[in-house]
Amino acid sequence: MKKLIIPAIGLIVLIFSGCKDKNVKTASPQITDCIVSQEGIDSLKLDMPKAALEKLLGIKITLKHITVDDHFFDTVQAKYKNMDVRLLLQEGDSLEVAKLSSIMTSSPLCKTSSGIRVGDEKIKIIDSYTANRIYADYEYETYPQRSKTRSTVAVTFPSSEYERRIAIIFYLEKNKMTAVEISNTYEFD
Amino acid sequence: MKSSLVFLLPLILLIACSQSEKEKEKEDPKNLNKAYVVSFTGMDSLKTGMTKAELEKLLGMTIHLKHIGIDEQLTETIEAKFHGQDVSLDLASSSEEAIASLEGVHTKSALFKTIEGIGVGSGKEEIIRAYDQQVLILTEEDMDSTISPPGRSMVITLAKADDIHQSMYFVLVNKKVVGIGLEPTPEFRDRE
Repeated sequence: MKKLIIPAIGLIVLIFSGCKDKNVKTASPQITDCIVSQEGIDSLKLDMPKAALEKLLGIKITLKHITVDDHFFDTVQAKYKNMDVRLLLQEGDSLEVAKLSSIMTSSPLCKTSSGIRVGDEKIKIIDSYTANRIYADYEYETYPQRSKTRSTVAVTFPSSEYERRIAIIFYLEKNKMTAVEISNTYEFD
Repeated sequence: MKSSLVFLLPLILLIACSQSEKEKEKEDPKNLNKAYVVSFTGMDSLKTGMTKAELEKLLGMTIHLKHIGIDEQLTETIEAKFHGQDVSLDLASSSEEAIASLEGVHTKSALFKTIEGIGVGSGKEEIIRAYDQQVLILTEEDMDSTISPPGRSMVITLAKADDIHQSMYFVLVNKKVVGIGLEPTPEFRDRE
């Protein structure tokens, strides 16, 4: 009898410890980084039609301007993989009502393939894109007065469409990255 | 013979030392007193907007135009000497009276520096830090074949913060400035 008690206790301890581990795993699901590229953020891709976007996000997007009034753009706040994202939709063509024109987030879960994320410095961003045309400037407060602290670094990519330029725009406060936007059109002004 | 050699050797050494000191002074980027200041409006007394006649007076030379007012080309580049240094002058067609005016200036001389001390020999990071509050355009494209050496080089354009149509630029090879110039900001040239 005594011989059986020791293995039985061991078995009980093992079962309980296994249960504990399972509980830990379910309590904190693993969060992975989302990669930012000139195509978009993770599965959120530029030029995505509204219907595909609704399917991906699991929401219904109600347009307030496109096809409603004279404006060609609508802004939508949404959640994507635990991140707050601001989506800009632009009027589509005859096949699509609207398509994704820009994605913006300040989530620290987003990073570029070279590892740039919220908190990184301007010089690191510039040095990561040596083959691209980069525009580093300060945001206008009241034109032509520029902010002393809020700046942007726009890394541009040529597009197949004539004169259209895609950009990853890094927003900075005192030279530290605070947000990122991927836009299907960029014009330096 | 031996005694004259003893006197000659220190003399040669002295001359060599003073020459290398002079060279060092020339190359020292902090030595702004001997540098000509480059600003958004020009290089020292060479100012953008100067007419052909004003340029001829300043440079002490006659400018013979080969295109402006002769064929359909509205711009041309003239090679000249200014303060004994080689400069390229970009002339653009202007009013009938002035014929042509100075639109841009380029030089590879280390004697021309911005007020912040940026010029030939400065590094990429140095430029970014010096103009942290300014508008910068960085590109690897070979924008100007007259100043860019063969192969891939980098151009950092510094646009004037309150008038981004005016800019100065730095041509870099291996992250070091090899040329400095002034021109209308390329992004707006085609839009106007």
